[in-house]
Amino acid sequence: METIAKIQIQKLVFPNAEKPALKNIDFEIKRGDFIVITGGVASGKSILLHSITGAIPHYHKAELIGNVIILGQDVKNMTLNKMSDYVGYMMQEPQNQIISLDVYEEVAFGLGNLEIPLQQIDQTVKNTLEFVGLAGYQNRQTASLSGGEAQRVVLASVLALNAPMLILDQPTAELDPQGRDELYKRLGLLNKTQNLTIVLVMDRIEEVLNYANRVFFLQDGEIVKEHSPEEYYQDQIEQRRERIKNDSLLQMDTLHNGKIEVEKIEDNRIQDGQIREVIAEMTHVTYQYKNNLMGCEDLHLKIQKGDFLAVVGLNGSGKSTLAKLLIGLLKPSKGEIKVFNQALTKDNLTKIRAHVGFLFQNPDYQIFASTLEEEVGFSLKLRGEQDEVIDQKIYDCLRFVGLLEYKKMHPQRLSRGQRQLLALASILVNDPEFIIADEPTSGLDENQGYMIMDKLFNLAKNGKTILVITHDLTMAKNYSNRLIALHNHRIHLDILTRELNKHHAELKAIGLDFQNIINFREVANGTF
Amino acid sequence: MGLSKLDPRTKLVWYALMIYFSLSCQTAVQLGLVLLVCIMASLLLTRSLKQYKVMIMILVLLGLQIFIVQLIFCREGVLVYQWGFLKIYSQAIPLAITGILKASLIFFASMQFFTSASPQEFTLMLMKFKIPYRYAMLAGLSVRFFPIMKAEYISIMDSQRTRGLKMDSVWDNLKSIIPTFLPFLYRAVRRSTETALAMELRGYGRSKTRTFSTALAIKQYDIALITAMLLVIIVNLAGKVLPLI
Repeated sequence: METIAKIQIQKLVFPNAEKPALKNIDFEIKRGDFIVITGGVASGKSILLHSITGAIPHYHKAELIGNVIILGQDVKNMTLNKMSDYVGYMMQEPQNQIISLDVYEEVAFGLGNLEIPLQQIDQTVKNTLEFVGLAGYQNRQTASLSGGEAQRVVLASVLALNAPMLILDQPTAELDPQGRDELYKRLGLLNKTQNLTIVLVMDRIEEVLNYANRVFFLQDGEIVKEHSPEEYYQDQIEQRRERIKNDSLLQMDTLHNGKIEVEKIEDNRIQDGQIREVIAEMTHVTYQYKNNLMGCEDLHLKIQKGDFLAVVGLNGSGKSTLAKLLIGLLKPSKGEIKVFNQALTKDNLTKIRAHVGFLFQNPDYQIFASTLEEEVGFSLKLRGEQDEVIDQKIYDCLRFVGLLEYKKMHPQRLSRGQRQLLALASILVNDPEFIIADEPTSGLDENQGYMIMDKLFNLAKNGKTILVITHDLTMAKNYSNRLIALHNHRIHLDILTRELNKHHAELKAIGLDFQNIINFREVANGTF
Repeated sequence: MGLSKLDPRTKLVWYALMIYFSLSCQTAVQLGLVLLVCIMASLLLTRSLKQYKVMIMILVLLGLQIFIVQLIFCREGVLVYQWGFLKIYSQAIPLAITGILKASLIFFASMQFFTSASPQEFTLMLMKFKIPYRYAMLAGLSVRFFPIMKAEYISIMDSQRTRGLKMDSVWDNLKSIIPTFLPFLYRAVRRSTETALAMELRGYGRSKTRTFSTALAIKQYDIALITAMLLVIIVNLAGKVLPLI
């Protein structure tokens, strides 16, 4: 196969950084390769992509010792706006990359910059939109697109330029299982039928492995291992076996075929023959947004102390609306919500919120302080806690999420995954009784994701109540005792997770395919 | 003929005409008439005044401020009321009305101009004024990102509220500026970096020109309207300047 890129980076150092962000990188990309790059938080995955696209050093200033050669051209010597002849680049948040008001203009944007005649642009836009499954979308407003549609519009606008290599940075991080599956299928098709070279960075890569031919694992800015997808699977199995061996919590789960822990949480709900305290209750709750869009409809839900609820559903099914209603950020159009046995009113919101932790999907919506410790201590200061108590709690929480060594660092210097952990620490510092987490593992690698879920699971075991909104069906299946599936703004299913097997078909029909996911039990049983 | 069919340059000259009148008219009657013409133009061309709903609230607040300032500080006319330090003169109310009408006219004409042309029309118009497309297209970007940034600011406020930050009173809101505005600023910087990168990597600015899906072609009725409006300004200016010579 023809080599289309040679990446040799001895060292890449950002100004004022102590350590190099990348080092000893040396690999070739062949035409038709589908390379998946993964690795831990702040391992240098995105920086490596930036080096290939030319964003480093042209856009982000850094000292790059080495060469990045694409189709015989050194990226250093090309201007960024000429790179579209060589690479197409797609990032995580589609709305940040969409710059036009309608879909046609968006896909035509790059073609217009290349001064392609209008007639040809019309045809290319039509064909590309058809290819990404958005035929007829030309006149749609970009603001009205769902997450998956928006990401496909970005893909179309990049594909329209016909570059020989496609580079994607966490392209499915914000998509639901159906959206992820659709995008990966299209990428696989492009790779197979058009011999398009693809380099993709993802934290969690199981779903894309079927389409890839090479997997790179990055650690501390270095490619520590190159696997074939099969080797990567085996490696993951070994790692998880080790993890299960070392983790008493999961050992029990494995030994008892995954039922013991789930039942333990169930048992927690019953004390002295009495049903445990109800933490939150929604009675026929409906919420309609100002633009008449339905948020959720006729929700009827009772959350009991010690529950670990996983709320699943496709994008736009009403998951985040449900969570916002529970914390009083939205006021129901109809119905009643009680939290800690009190109806949510303006007067008692502050009191109720003091015992509820709400983790937003995007950590950047809350981070403002100039050090990590200041950020974590913010809500304690608001509550007038004593300095010694604040210091101790900050220490405990930062240690808990593994960020203690960065406590004096500016949070904006952290990677996205680390900022997610910081946001979690800021919530846990208040020792909330009820934790609502909207996609707590988004932006985290697999190990970090499991670590967070383990911690939440432990909190549930100790009597805290957890509600996790997630697109990660593996996590939902492995950790929850109860599963709420939303569809078309309504609760479609409210089941005990141990009874999940009885509902596979029903869940698959609403785009939630639990049968094709990988979980600990299968790994431990060797059926991975 | 709909408003959308007019060339953006015609709309720009209309806007300039309205601003000129708002500055040159001195009486409430003149200003009222010009404002009425401006509103009627919108009503005739778009058959709706819905888009000005938000503006009315802002104008009420602004008008109230102008009114209070004039009552307290105006010293023209005769003294009609005194209470301690507070002295109200006879010219305060007519001046307040004139001020409110001027502000309303400027506001209305600005809204009319900025909501009547699409971002692409703005871009093409600026390019006709020899502004490179690299800069001309930025006007459209602000239209695209404004609603996203607004939604994001609301989410940031929600996020901080759930952490216990109070935002019930004006004082609370003032205190909450740092925890809400800083994340907003960081997000904006991050987004602008990503957007700029996405644009550059799609060839933005690699040539001096680019292909647009539409082109501006000034029609005869646009030329007639522009000429008529410029004539009105010239005649009006001449009427003011000539007597001084």
